[in-house]
Amino acid sequence: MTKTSDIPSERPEVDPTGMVSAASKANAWFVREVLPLENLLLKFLRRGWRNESDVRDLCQDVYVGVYAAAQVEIPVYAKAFVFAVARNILVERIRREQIVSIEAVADLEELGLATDEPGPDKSAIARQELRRLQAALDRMPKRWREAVVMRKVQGMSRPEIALRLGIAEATVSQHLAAGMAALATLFHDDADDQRGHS
Amino acid sequence: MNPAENPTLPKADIAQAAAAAWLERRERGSWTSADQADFDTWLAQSPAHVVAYLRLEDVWARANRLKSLDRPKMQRFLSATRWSRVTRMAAVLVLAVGAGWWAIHTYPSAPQDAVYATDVGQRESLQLADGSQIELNTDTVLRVSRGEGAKTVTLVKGEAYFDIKHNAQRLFIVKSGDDRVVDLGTKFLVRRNTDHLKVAVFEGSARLDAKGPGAAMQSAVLMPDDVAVASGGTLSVTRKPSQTARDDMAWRRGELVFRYTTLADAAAEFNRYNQKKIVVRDAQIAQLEIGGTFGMHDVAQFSRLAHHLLGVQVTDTGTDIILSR
Repeated sequence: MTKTSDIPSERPEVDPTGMVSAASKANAWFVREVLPLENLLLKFLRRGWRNESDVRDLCQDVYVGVYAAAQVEIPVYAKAFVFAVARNILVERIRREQIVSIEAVADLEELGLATDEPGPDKSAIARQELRRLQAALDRMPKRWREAVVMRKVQGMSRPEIALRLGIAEATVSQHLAAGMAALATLFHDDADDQRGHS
Repeated sequence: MNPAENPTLPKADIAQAAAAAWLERRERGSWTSADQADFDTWLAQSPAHVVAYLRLEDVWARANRLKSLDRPKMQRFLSATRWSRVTRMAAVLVLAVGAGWWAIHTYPSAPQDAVYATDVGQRESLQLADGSQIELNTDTVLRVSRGEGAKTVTLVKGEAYFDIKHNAQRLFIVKSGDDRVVDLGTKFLVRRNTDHLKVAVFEGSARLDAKGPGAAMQSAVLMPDDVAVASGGTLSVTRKPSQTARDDMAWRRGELVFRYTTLADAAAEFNRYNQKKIVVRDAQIAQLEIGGTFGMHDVAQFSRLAHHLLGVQVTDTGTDIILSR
């Protein structure tokens, strides 16, 4: 880039993390099998743990536990494994903090989580995913949403977004990063939505 | 797994914010090997970092589905008034912070021109608000005027491909030196050379107005496959076979296509895209012809082929590649 302007070259897509191949198998499995369970997992954790401010951390603990295990050997039944780890973590936390919670040890079967039943077909998933993405955008602060939509939907570069919104490019980057984080959280977690509209 | 060291710290949020910053930075381009090393270090620090990154990257890739949104839906997102609770809170904060901040963000800095530039070997694509697209080739400077009336873009140097959404109410004009190209609904390529301007039209039509210093203006309407050259007020138009004309756009795919191209011309073309220059040492060799499709940065492959095909000697000095007898 010359000094006249500063367009950093935009990559169309981020390439895979580029980690070693042993880990990349676990990464692929994790993205494919575990991440889609986040909404259910959050519901499960909220049932067992009343303190909402801990729930995101608990979720991360579950992810780290599952991910660590997958690097040794990839579990056959993803769903059952994830919720087994989640239950262990909850039980451990309850023991450590000496809290009694009936719900925490609620039967997994009761929640219908223990089995890996076949999911909906691909096109239904695609439609549902688009709907969830839209819902996530709807719930995002305007500045972040604008940056995300201009980048993802309209394919604009950062300088172009900066030009359109009349803000600095560094600010565009901040909005995009915030938007990326918010999009993932809102995409996976419809709890705010339900509470917000009830 | 280990219980949290400090359960009061919202570590998930910290990991997520860091992961978002990395994802954004990687996507921004200009990613160096030093950046990659820093990134690798960060990933290695904790599996929490890895899962946070994978999680954001996954949803960010899924968000590509949003491209299938139609225009009205998209517009709704850009000018939405349906504020979430979070947004309302943010708005209250903004008002509390005061009018200074507000002024900066509501009125963008003076309506000055935006300048876009690429370095040697770089390409860049821009999308304008009306859906028009501009692709900048290597070593190019382009100025987009933000004024009212006709949309004016100035090609200061280099080459750019234009795919313009035609609007009869608001003409799109590419200026370069004294010459200008007026879009009449079209896809076209404009290349500024030191002594002439070259315009090739691929779809629709465009008008080229050529004007030399003190000379009367000459105009021509160009149709698909027309290639026009304007030099000091004179204008000439030729029709190229579609394929040949399209070879001039191979850079958009990162390639260079040669057909019976002299070594001198091929070297000059490679040198537009690379810091490491090809120097043809001998006048006779310079006139040898070569053909083929090459990656624009694949100087090594090109010189290897020139060696095998044309028998020229290839010497790599580290900064240059010298072709000699």
